[in-house]
Amino acid sequence: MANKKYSKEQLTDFYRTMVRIRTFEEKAAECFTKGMLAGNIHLSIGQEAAAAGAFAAIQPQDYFTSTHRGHGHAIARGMDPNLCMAELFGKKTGYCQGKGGSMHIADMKKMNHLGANGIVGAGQGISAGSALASKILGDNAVTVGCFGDSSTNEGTFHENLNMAAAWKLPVVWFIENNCYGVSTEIHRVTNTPDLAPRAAAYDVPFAVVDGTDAVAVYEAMVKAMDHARSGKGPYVVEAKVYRYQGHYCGDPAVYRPDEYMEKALENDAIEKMGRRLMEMGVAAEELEAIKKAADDEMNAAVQFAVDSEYPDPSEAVTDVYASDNERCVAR
Amino acid sequence: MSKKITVSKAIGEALHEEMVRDDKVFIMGEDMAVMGNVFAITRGFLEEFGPNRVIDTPISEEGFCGMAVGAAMRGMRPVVELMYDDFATVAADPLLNQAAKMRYMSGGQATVPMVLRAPMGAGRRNAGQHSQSLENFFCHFPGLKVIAPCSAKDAKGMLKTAIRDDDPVIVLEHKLLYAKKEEIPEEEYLIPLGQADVKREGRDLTIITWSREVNFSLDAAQTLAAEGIDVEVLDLRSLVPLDWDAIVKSVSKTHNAVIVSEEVKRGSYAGEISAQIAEELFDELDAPVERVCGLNIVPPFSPTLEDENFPHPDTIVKAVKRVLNK
Amino acid sequence: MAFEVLMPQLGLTMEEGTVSQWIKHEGDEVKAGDVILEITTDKLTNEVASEHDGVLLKIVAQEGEDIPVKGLLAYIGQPGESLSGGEAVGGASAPAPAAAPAAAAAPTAAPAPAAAANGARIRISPLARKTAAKLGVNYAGIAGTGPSGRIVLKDILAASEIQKNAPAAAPAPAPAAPAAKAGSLELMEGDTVIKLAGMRKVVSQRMWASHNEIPPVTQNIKVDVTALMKFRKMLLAETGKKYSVNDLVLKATAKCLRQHPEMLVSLDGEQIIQRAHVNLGMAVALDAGLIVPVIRDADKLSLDALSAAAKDLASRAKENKLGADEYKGSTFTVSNLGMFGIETFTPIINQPDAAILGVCAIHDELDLDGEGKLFKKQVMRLSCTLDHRLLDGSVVAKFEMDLRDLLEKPMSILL
Repeated sequence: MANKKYSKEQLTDFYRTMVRIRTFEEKAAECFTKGMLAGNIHLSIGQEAAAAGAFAAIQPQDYFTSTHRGHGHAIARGMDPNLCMAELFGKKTGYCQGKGGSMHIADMKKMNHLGANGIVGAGQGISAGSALASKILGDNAVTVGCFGDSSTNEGTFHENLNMAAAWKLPVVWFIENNCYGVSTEIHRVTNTPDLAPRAAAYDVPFAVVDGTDAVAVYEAMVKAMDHARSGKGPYVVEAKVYRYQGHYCGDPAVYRPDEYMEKALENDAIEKMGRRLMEMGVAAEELEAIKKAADDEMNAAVQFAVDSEYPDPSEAVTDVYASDNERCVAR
Repeated sequence: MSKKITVSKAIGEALHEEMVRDDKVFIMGEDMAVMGNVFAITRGFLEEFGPNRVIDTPISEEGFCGMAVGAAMRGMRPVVELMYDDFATVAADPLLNQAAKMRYMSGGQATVPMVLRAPMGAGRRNAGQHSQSLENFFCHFPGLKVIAPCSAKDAKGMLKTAIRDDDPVIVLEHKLLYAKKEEIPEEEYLIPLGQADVKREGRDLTIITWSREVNFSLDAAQTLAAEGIDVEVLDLRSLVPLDWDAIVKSVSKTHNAVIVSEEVKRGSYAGEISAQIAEELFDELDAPVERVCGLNIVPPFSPTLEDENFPHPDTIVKAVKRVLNK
Repeated sequence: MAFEVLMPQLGLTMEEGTVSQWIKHEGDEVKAGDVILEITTDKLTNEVASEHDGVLLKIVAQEGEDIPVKGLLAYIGQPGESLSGGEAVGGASAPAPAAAPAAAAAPTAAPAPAAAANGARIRISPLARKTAAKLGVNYAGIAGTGPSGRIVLKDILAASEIQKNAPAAAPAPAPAAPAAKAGSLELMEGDTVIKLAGMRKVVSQRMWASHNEIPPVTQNIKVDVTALMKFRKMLLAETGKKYSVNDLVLKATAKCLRQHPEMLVSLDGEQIIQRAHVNLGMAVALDAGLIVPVIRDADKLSLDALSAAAKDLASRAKENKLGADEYKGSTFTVSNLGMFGIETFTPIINQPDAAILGVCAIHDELDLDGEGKLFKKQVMRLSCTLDHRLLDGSVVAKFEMDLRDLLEKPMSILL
């Protein structure tokens, strides 16, 4: 797919982003298994190339929504792993001061992040609405809605894609298709082999790409972003990915055939990119150094989270309302 | 200086004034633009403000309410109209899970300054899915503000405040108030949220109410006055935030309270207010607080049936007498 | 000037009476001494006579209403006299706020602390309770004018006025009754509703209070009455007088109590009163309820006199002709259900007594004599309930054993 010439530096950047995402996820899983953090976490190991490729195509002025499986989007966007990890731990220093947790990590102020969302499909309305705002404001920003495969079966997929198309809104929907909605294989509940072609029903262009190839994802997304930014309306990109873990950390995924993981490991995005870089003359030590740096960085993130304070219990009643909060919460 | 206009015209004036004042304000909903709303509230807006700010939506309530959330998070001030508040069930996720919670879940990063106008209420013979009063439904969700003005003056002044408010505000507008003509000030004005209005002073009992039932309560108060029962009528106007101080003041004076709303009685916001009075004003009470609401039924169609399903002045009169044992 | 007709106090423990019937009606002429109404009260029906000549101007208390002692019943005055002028109703006790039925509920002045110590639930609004505490109003006897008879603010304010004006003369009230809690039960087809009133109400209150206040123990003892029954026949043969078993039991009990003064005590708050007299209460069942006339100094009466007193009291009780003081002042009570075949029961103490003796049925029993031979005898059980705050089981057991011995050797009853 990637037949263009990319510099070593560009490909190394993809490699580094993917390694950082996977390391973050592995550290988070380790902490979860040790009982250091509460709740559920949904890991994106196996989807790193999709996040790295897509976010390389998203400009600083652009907006995006994320999902319950959103740690990779945050790292790829350039958010601080310390603050992400602290949020997973429910600490005061987390991005959402411990009020959102894993499913709601967001940096709204600096990263134009419109929220990771615990409701499948909720980002479709929000991303389309953000695009509507851009259209009204004429600010030249594109909004990217990141979703999983299962959200394409929500009514909002169709409602919002229809409106976005009718009103030519600058929005790109990026579907990471890992084939599973919790335990349900997508083709058991969906009649089409691919999901993005549904866009054609609304006369919206689309692309289906190998989501284990960061470069392929990047190229598809660049095209999609250009389309949306030029005022032609929405664009849908579907990246085929693998979800190495179960739905949530600790889910043994017994519902999945062995072949799924065999194929996944054959196509491991980080391995593939590593081989490609070595073919281009990058030394194994260099790649090891990247992994070592990521390991150090994410260990530090865990340490930061561990060392951070929990929010004071009194914080439970703050931030419900922007104004008149105390009275509105009191009764 | 004052003028006499309908409630729907007052709402239209609020929208118009705010759209002129702030170009971040835009309106969307079914039949809002070309038709100018089924109650003619936004007639002429499309021509004046253009299709970017006066948007006819498809019948995709969940979709366009979700878009309003996204636009509001971007600093826009969308004013969305649901044709009937009953349709909020279709748009439950964006309203209740997204708009209401986004600020809290993000640790205070997000603001969602959107307004949802939701025509509600019984009496138009619209049957089970077009006649509900869903105060409790909205008030249950922390993060939403909920107002239910009665008069033309309040409808305008409070809608303007709601549009300027940084939180999502649900505006419950009773359909049978739209055509009422009332005096409002000629000049621009705002009415704050969370401020109840004593519509009638009285000694013997406080009727706590809102929306169309304010008018019925005032009628009931007049009937009762002829029998020597002096009732105070407190129009809450705003349900969240709730003007608790006004309730304390009035109930501490009259020592008796009746709460009137058109909601299904079971689980109603009227019941919530009753519980709060019982909890905190127990020693002020000279009788149990009574709720006068709709029945625990599906809104019926036939006039004789529907009339059973919301409080009328005579039902209110009876309830007041029951509480006072008169 | 109009005179008030007030609820009379017909016995020391009387708190309220029920207007059962108006004999005279509004506008009727009355003379001093004319009976103007009947009241049911404290186990009795009484007539209330006018103390003045004039016209029955206004009936304030309607039939069926419970009115506290000294509560307003009616006005008697001159024809055409107005009651609305404040002065017109100026009587010795407090004026009622208005000549409306509500005013009939004018509460008594009751300066003693609210006698709800027994946990009686009084329906009163939160505000009324708070205000009563602030004004020092005892609301135990007030009839509320709110829904379901709830005492509401205006009742307390009215009571406060009256308690301020009235001389603090009311006697210490008896334990407050469980408040009427009407209207909470669902009616089924064919049910009828009767107001709890008069004797039934008094019995209900007394039993409730006793049962709630007293930690009771009931001890049963078996008495061989074969000899007693023979003795009774012998008395009939020799004197021609027919004494009932009850007469003999009363006599034996009176005698035994004299030997056991520890049984004759009453609890009065923090003090115990040792009673000097053996005043035997005697439970008499009536259609309308239960009444306990008292045989004073029963230990000093001959069997003859005792028997006569018992008969007289019982028959007058049934005719509703007991004087107010004839059912007061008991120090011990006997309740006999033997004639109904009851084998054993747990009588409830007639306060302020410390114990009550239940007398049960006589029946035949087989027993073994010293040589192991079967013989027939007649037995009767005595069930004595004691107030364990004052008496202990062993103390009462001794009394019961001595009483048994007396009854088993009937001659000693008379000795």
